[in-house]
Amino acid sequence: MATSAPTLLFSPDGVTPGDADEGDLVRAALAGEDQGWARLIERHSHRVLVSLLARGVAIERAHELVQETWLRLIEANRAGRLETLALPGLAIVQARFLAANDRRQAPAPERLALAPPQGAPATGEDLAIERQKLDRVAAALERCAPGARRVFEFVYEHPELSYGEVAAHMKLSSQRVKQIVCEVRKQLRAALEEETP
Amino acid sequence: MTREHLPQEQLELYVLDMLDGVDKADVERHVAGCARCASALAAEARAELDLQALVAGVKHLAERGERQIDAAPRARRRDQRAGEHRWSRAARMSMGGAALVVLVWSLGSARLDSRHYVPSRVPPGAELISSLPSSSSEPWSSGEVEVEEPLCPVSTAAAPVEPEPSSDIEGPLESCAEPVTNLCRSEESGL
Repeated sequence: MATSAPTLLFSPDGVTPGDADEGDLVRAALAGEDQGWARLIERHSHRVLVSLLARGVAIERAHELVQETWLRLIEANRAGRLETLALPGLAIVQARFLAANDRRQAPAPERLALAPPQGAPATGEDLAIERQKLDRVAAALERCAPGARRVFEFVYEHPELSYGEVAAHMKLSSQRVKQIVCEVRKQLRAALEEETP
Repeated sequence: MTREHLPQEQLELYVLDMLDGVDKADVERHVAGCARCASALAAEARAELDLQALVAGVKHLAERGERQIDAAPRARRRDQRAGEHRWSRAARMSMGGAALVVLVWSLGSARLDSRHYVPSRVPPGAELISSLPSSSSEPWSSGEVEVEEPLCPVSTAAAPVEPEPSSDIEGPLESCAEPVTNLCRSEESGL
């Protein structure tokens, strides 16, 4: 998982290494190559799992649903129903669909307990709060050291890359990348939890 | 490990995929049997998704800010053009005014000296006045002022962190023929 393709780190046409590598893997997977699917599953499964956990799915079931998600996508590809593969978005949508199926099939009281938290802001007040959060995160990012901010943003812009791959790209150690992400994240969360003046 | 609750840092590291295999398995084993930690893990996962969305939103705003900066020279050129436009209007106004004065003067002199009135004589400036547009259609005549196009208001919503899947992909369940995007919407609305 560490550094898979160092030759892709400096792409001449300005494409980031993650994009190029991800594109190759997606093409391989769409062509039916198992190795391509294996790498994509390795890259994106955790994010899919976290999206299910955030919806209150139990961890064992979440693991099962992640497996099922990939099986469905592979089957869909074999059946010629996949023309593009936008990951992790498609896998997350598929996994949430399967989780929703679980809820639908559960008895009524359990269905209520399994209901996902409502996330979409509905009122103007909610939108104002969201806007305030955005401003706080932006301000907190501004306060970060430029180097730390660059690493943090790169990690969040390239969820397909492992910390090892990010470290290779940024010429840092994997441990340092993790440390930076944790530090910046801590600052952002502190900014979000600040009392409104 | 299984008796005490997991510290938040451990859950955070799990969500961020920063734990090695053994620690990860420990967390999963504990969470599977501890409702409180399972709930805390779900909250941590939600917080991470929120943060991802916010970071993407900040990036979105920053990109739009860059576009506004790029638009500045264009706005300056527009101002310049508007300035030229306003100058030509002022010139037309003064020329029209001068023609009007000449016309009034010539009409007045003709009325004062009606005995020497020559009907075939074209008053000076008459052609110029007739070539001017109707004064009522000019914004300056009705007290209106030229204004810039309103700038794009600041968005209040963060950009979604998860990319939308392609809409031409068939639905994931054999029993459902809806496209994935529609499934997503129906799932969001609580299937």
